[in-house]
Order: sequence, then C-alpha cells, then structure tokens
Amino acid sequence: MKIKSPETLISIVVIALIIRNFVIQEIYIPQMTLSWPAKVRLFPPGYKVEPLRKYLGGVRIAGYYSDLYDDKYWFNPLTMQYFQSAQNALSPVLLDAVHCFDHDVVIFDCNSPGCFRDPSTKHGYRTVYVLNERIAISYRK
Amino acid sequence: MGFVLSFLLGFFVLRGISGKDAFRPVDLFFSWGLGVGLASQLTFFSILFGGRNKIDVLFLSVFVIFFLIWLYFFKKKTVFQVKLFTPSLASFLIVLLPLVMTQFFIFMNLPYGDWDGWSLWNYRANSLYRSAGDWLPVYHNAIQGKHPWLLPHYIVWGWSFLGKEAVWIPAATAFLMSFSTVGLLVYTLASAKGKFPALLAAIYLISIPYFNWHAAGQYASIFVAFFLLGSLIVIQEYYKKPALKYAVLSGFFLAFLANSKDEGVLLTVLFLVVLFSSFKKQVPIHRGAFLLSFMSLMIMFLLTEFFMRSSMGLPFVNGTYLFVDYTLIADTSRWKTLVLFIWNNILTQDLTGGFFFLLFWAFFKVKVDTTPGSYYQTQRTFLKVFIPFILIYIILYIIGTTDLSWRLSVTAHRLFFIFYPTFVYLIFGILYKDEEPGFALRPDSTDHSLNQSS
Repeated sequence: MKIKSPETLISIVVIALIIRNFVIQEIYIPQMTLSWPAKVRLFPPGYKVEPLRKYLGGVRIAGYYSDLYDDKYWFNPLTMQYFQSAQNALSPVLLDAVHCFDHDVVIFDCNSPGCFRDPSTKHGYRTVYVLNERIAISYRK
Repeated sequence: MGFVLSFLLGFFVLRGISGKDAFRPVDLFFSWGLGVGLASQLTFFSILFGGRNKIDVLFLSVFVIFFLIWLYFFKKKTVFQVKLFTPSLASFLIVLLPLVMTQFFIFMNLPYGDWDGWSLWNYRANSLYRSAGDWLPVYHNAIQGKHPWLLPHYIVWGWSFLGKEAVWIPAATAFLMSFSTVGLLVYTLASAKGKFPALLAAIYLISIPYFNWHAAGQYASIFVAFFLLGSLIVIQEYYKKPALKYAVLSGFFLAFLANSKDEGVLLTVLFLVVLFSSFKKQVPIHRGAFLLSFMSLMIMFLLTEFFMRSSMGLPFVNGTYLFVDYTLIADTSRWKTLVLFIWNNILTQDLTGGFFFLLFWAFFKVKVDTTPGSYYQTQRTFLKVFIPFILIYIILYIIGTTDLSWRLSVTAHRLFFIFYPTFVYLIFGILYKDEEPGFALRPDSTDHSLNQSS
C-alpha cells in the first residue's frame, strides 16, 4: 500500500494507537470493576446500622490510615460486605456516614471545622474510637 | 436544573459580549465553561453575603441583569452558523460513546468518585452544603481551605437547585466537563482542519486510558484541563481577530483556571507573564475589557480570602506549602528518582496512550508560521507557559520534604493529565493541514455573511 500523504501516515499511526489504547482499557477496566455493581450501595438518609457496633472494637476500618493496606479484604461494616480494596470499602461508608447526621454512625475528619468540629456535643454523637489525629468514629447513643 | 441555569447564564453573557457575531457551535462549550465558572463564583458570594439559602434569589437577580444586558447588546436575532457544524451531531455523539460507557462504569463502581474525589473535593462541597450558619470555618480549615473552590462551589450550586445532596451531581459534573473538553477540541479543530482530523483527535483523547478514568474520578483536574484548553483557544482566536468577545473570555477563563486547582494558579500567573511581557502587542485592543474581566473576579476572590483569613488570624499562604528544604536540590538520589519515575511511569507508560510519541513527532514537524493565531504561534505561546511550569514543579518535587516516591506516585499523573487535551489540540493542529487554506483565519464577518446567506 502506498501512503499518499503525511496526513495519511499520521492517521494510520493515530488509529493504531487508538486501537491499542482501547485494548489497554479493556484489560484494566475489569480489574477496576471487581465489585461492580452489586456490592456498592448508596445509603438513604436514616439508614440504621445495628451490626456496626459489634465491629467497632475490631475497627478494621482503621486501615484507612494505618498499615492494613496489605490485607486481602476490607470490610465495610455498614454493608456487611467485603471488598478487595480499601477505597471501595470505605468510600460509601465515609461519605454517607459523614454526610448524614440522621445515621447511627459517623466517621469524621477531626480536622474538619464547622459542622464536624464537635459532633459529640453538637449532634449528640459520642466518640468511641479515635483512630489517629485525623479520623475518629462516633456513634449516637 | 442547576446545570441548565448555569449554561443559560454563560450563554447570555457570551451573547452579550459577542456583538453581532453569529453563534457558532463551539460557543456552546464556551457558554458551558463560562456558566460553570460564574455559577461557582455566584455560589461563593451568595454564601459570603447571604448564606446558602439566598443563592436562588441572587441567581435570579443576576440572571435578569445579564438578560437585559444581552437584550441591549444583541438587538437582532441570534444567527446560528449551521454550516460550521462540520462534524455532524450524530458523528460527534458516536465518537463520544466510549466516553459515556467508561464513565458510566466508573460511576457505578465508584459512585463517590476516586480517592480525592470523595475525600477532598466532594467532601468539601458536602461540608459547605451542610454547614448552614457555620460555613466560615470550612474555608479556614488547614486541609480543606488550601485548595481553590471552583469545583466544590459548583457542586453546592447543583445541590442547591436540586434541593438535596445527590451523588449523581458531582458525577454528572465530571462527565459534562469531560464532554465539553472534547466538544471544545472537536469543534475548534473542525473549523480549521475539517471533520476527520477533529473526530480522530476526539476519539484519540478519549482512548488515552488515564484521561478517561481520571476525568470520571470527580477531581478538579478536568476543570483545569478544560479551562487551560479554553484559555489557549480564546487567546488564539483573539490573535486571529482581536474582538471584545475573546478579550473578555480570555480574562474569565484565566480567572477560572486559577480558581479551579493549585496547578491552575501557577498556569494563570505564567499566562499573565507571557501576555504582559509585551502587553500592547499581545493585547492590542480591548485591553481594558480583558483586564476588567480578569481582575474583577480575581480581586474579589483574593480580597475575600484575605479578609476571611485575616479575620481568623490565619496565614494567607497555607503553611503546608512551606515544608521545603533547599539543600535537597543537591541530592542526586532525588533527581535520579524523579527521572526514573517520569521515564517509567509517564513517558513509557501504557496509560498515557502513546501520547508523548505523537507529541515529539508534532513538535519536530512544526513549521514556522508567523501568521497571528497560527498553530505555530499558539504552540510557542503555550510552551512559554508549559516549560516554566514543569521546571517549577520539578524544583518543588526535589525540595519538598515529603517522601518523593510517594508524592510522585500520587500527583505526577494528575499533573500531566491537565495538559492532555491542550497537547492533543496542538498535535492535531500541527500535524494536519488546513482543510481550506486560510479557512481558519477567515474573519468572522465573512462567516457571518456566509451564514446569513444560508
């Protein structure tokens, strides 16, 4: 095949790169979506979580900033589910719990001011476990 | 509702500054970016002056004002340049399918966004939205307050009009910004290079794995990418035809670039240095409009930040930026770590999609073209910003006291991400010839008459 112009050559190279890139995406995407879609849940406001309390002592969730990154599985106490990455396990927990004061459980950033400055007094939560200087878990009595 | 209103806000402002110029398809994406930035600023000022609940009142009054301005400046019917829809809507949407599918998968897997998406950007929006009368300390927080607020404000805007927090608002924002970035690229390239290179550029950008995934991660990086590309395009358009519209848009987009993320602050400063280095030549007319649009946003923003921080006795520059040790610059092991990381994880990494190969090809192939607004000139303008930016960040990496390998692993990809759309734009602009010689340089007045005849 004779390449008639530089633009044709460029187009061929770009199309080859596009095919290669989409193949790479096809390889990576399944690895990203191991827990998709059933294991990820959104929590409606007012979601009550009784099972959490018995796990607070174990606080596997403490791994957010600890050395539990090497654990094979991460446990999400709100959903009672295991995930293969801390991120998948924690993002629904942290976000939803922090955002919903109606919940039994709040995991909060100790450095956050404003509404999160003192959840124990302001919103009736009691801190039961301080993971480190930044993250703490509280629950409402 | 919030998305539509912010778009309409951008649209009306753009029409107000466009004079008698016809409405082009690319203006849809300019309107979107302008609307996002203005809505974010409105949210900030409505919180500052009236509390979050006043946002609708403030918006409505501003909306009416801009609508009147639009009526004043644009008395005749808007002319749409249908002929410049070079890539048809159908082909554009087909090209976008991979973007839609990938971002949908990522949203289903990570509905709250990637790591900093949920732990920083959305978290800040949520703190603000729920803070009620306690909003002031949220801005002062050492962790949350140190980054620009354009994205969290815009999410609060979306939630305010929806009346509740919804997970899909940040996700849809990320998607619409990705969509607009690709749209800006396609319709600008199409007007100069034709349909095929423009659509090829779009699908190539979407195919770059890291671009697609990170754009869906609900970070502010996609905002920087959009406003960087947008700023460069409007500056290029201004050089082709120094119109009021492009002078004002340049000012707005550079201000929004600075308000979107820390990297945007440095990029804006460097753009201003380039523009001001020969201000009368670079900005021959409408200098006042350019300065006014930029400074009005920046001064208000900076003064308010200063007022808030000083009133709380906090330093204006966050202390965490100052953790540096200048003696580390002589540490050869850090330089070696940096070079090896960039080679292994950026230049030759699969996730960058062969991007740097094309980049080097284009930059070696570029031909000198002194025509104002040519891709050669635009590339030169951009390199004057890009090279100092990279050098400054290299120095910051070296002298920063945090663990270098860790810092590179979590930030370097993001740093290059913001340049992908701009470089793809320049690569395709340089490698492909104009579809019709001089077409891209055709003055808008000609386009206007062409369109009127249609």
